[in-house]
Amino acid sequence: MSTYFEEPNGRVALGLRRPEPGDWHHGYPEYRVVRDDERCIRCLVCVRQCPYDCTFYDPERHAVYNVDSNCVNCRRCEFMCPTNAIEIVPWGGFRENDNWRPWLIRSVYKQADTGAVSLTGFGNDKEYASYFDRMVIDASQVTNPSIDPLREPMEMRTFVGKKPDRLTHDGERYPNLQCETPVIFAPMSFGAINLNFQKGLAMAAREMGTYFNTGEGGLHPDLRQFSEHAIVQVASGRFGVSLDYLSNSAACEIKIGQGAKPGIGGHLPGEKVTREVSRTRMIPEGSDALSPAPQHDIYSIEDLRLLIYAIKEATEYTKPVSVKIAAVHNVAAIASGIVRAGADIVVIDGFRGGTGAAPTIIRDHVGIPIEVALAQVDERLRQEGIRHEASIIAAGGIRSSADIVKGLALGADAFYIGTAAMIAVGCTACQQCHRGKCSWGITTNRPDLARRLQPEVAAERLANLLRGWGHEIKEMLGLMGLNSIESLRGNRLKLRGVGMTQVELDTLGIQQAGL
Amino acid sequence: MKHVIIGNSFAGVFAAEAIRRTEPESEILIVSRERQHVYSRAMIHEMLAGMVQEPMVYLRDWDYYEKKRIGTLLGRAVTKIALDAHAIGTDDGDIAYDRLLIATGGRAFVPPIAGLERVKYHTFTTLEDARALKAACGGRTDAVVLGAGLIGLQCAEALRHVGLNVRVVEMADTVLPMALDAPSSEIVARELAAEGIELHTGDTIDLIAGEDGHPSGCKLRSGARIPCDLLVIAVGVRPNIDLAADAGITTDRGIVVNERMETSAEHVYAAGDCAQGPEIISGMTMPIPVIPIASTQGMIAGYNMAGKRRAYRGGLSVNAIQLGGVQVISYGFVNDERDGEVLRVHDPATKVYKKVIIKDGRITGAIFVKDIDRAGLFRHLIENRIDVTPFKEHLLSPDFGVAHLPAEVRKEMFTTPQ
Amino acid sequence: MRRVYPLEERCINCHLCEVACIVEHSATKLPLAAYHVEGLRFSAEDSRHIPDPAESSERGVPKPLTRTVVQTVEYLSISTTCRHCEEPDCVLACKNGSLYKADDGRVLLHEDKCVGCWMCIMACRYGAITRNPTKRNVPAVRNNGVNHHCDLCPDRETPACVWVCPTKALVFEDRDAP
Repeated sequence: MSTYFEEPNGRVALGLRRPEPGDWHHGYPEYRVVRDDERCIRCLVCVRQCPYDCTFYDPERHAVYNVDSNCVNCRRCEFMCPTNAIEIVPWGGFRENDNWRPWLIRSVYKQADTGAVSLTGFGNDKEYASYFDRMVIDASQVTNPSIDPLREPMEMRTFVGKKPDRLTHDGERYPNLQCETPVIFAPMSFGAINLNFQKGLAMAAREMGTYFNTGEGGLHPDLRQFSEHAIVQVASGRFGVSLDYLSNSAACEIKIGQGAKPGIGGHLPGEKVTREVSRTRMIPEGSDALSPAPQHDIYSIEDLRLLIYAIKEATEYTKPVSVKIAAVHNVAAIASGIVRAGADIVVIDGFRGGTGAAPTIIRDHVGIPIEVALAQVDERLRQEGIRHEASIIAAGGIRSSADIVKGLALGADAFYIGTAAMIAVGCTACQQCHRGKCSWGITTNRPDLARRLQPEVAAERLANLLRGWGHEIKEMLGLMGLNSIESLRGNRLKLRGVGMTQVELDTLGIQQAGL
Repeated sequence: MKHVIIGNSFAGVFAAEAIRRTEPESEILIVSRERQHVYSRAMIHEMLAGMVQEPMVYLRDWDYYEKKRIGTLLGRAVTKIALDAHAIGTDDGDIAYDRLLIATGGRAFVPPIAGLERVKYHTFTTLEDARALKAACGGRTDAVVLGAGLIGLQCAEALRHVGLNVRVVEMADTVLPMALDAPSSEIVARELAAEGIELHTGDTIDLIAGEDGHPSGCKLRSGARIPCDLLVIAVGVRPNIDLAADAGITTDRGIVVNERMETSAEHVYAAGDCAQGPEIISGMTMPIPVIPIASTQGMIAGYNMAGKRRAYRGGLSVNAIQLGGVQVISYGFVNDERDGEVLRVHDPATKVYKKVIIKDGRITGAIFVKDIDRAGLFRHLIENRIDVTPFKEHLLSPDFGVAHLPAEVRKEMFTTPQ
Repeated sequence: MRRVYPLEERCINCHLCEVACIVEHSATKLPLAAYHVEGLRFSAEDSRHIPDPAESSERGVPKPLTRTVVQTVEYLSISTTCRHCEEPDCVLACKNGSLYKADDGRVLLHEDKCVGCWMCIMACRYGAITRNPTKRNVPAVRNNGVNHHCDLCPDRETPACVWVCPTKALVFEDRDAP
């Protein structure tokens, strides 16, 4: 008998609560579900929709009640309630303390309760100064006329891959990805997300002339039809990697690291390894899928070159090979080595990048921001005269078209968006991705929950996002007096810093606003 | 094309509608011995009891036949069918036809009982019967109903509602022996007893005592004597096959018809309680005198008469009964359990009883007492001979529904127009 | 003729279709009035173990008066409604002609004529009919009620259940052969 629709054990939840000294991290609920009883019509939609054992029905009182300590603020109940009777609010709180912030207190409780490593999903949510938010964009005035994007064509198309040393009519050409928009869907594995969302990403990628990335979970057979738009990933666990896998793609990507958890491998908790996932990844159902930290056949840059060329040989040099790294210290040197090793694309994933599951402490404290990493990598490759040998894809918390324009100016060729894609299809950033119970049907493979996100709906919303951002980028290009992405690339002069120190400005290679 | 229909009840009216839908211009004539506007025989007991007003008894609005341009000759008895002449003879002249439908229904069977010929008694199949019985109730106190089939019990309940003492005598050991099995019958019997109806099962009337042409008491085979000043005979209904038999049309218990409702005579059809058509579980022909079958057979006959070839895959014996405030729905052969797997649920406290008989993976009989929601799904399972083995343990659960059916079955039901 | 067709792969078992149906058929068509003033119930939980809706009402836990029923097994859910058949089983079984097929194709009920005999429930192959105990045309019969089934929301462009469904698991379209 399946567990999908067992009636939640309301009687237990309704029972008397006893103070539990062994369960301190549930002792103080973070959120409180406030239900306007006048508006509640006892339709029980919220009861049926809550996957976190937070909402129950009490037949004795004919009323709905909540176990607030289980609420994760996913807001699904608010969204679904037909009479707007629900509001999730923060519960009380600890005494104000700028040093011992609430999450730090809770984190110590949790560790003391369990002695285990705290896992989380999503991207780094801690307060670090954003560089994107302290850069502003130039606009044309008087001396340099702006271009009206409604009247003049704006070239949004860009090519991602190795460019030849010099341009000749019949000279060497290398395989490139043709992107009609500089935005590509980030690697999100089947297992971390589900097939419905992957299909949505693939369909939107096809519609908008861009690409999606399989992540380290392999390419599901149902997605074969989209292989022309698929970037397939070869990660340290080598899940699902075969000649067939590599050949049915637009590009192959070697994953060395990920912005959310630099230095450690991928993690798919056992709860999320359903039968379908187990089949595609070729691992036992229900077992944790922990990818090793290093790729065990890559211990030096020469080993990386071997793997890059092994893939190129296997795919007969028809596809660009990408190498993805996390943004860490010395990222510029690492990127340089990668380009010299023969990679056509270098992907740099900043510390705000999302994840399906990672230890919280690593997600929040390891890695560096994408803005500075990108600026330094672009600068170093230019200085070494090898900037043309590989394209740079920037990733890690790209939130808006402004981030994209700024990133292009800092030197990126294109961008991966992961978190933004999830939010486009309904994610409310509750950070419970690792539990496999995503209320929005995004980061779960449970069939009853996965169907909450329909591929066609997802595809439409993702395509809309790219369209909307595309229009905004065109507007911003036009107001800068530019009419193509190429003219913005690496054009640091179009940016100014506000509220940064001189060292920060220098690292980014931009000037202070006003100058 | 002139279509003549003998009989003005369910089979007749649905046939007329089917013809009119197919042939907007042809002539349709309904001839009936009964004078009433088309009414439902299943409603006469409620009318007798005064539970409903008369308009609810009629099957269609007063101007229905006029609007549909269906001609009627009511209060006209048909005396013979002249096949060679393609005409029917009535008590007031002949009527020619191109197509003829015999939808004469059934009539109450009255068995020989000592003393019966000397007293006034009632049968209970027509509206006239009900009116007569209602009039006869005045001043009476002790009604006896012979027969605990559906008609007998409905009449008994109505008489009880009017205020008489009611005793029911039934030959079989249980009430509703054709429609129910022993446990479900027991539940109904108990409810009827609670209403004050005295049941004498496994018994029959041997002698009827009379005074001045009215019954005064009954002596039962068991020896018991019961008071009686009003007697209703409700032991069964025989198909009205005389017209057909006299004309040389093949009859058995009913007028034999094929899957197009055609009789052995060219251009002559039969439908309803008088007909003996195919039965879907056994494949044999048998009369199935229930409303849904009569209506469907009438409709099929009508289509075929109007030149639209339609085959009837066969009827299923079905019942929806409400007695003593308990609802019962049954399908198929509910007492034939041999060589079958029987699934049963019985909760005396809530009076819920459900039983399903499965043979070779297919349901051949089913009964539902009280818990009747979505019972019709079983009709679908039976008529389409669906193999229920993969989901049989769910059949009697309270929330058995379409989600338990195989995906192809469900798809066919809900994704295509029906 | 346009009918409501369910797409079972999209149904998330939220039952908003049932809520919308009840509200649409309430006197005010407003959810709070329907609940607070008319006392319409939305939750089926309390009455689940009482098979007869009339008894359920009597005991103070009326069953929801929904004309669509969401049927579920594990994670498979499907919202089922009257198919408005071309040759409706219920019309052929109705013992006094209360059920009829209207000119626009919908199968409808003469509400004041239905005597609650449940022949329609016995006949409907799709299990699409429920018992409505709030209207009793034959009060002398215990547990009387009337037929209750989808009427394709005559006051609306698109039926309420189709309109409310968050995953578009119900569509209102014409699938008849041309």
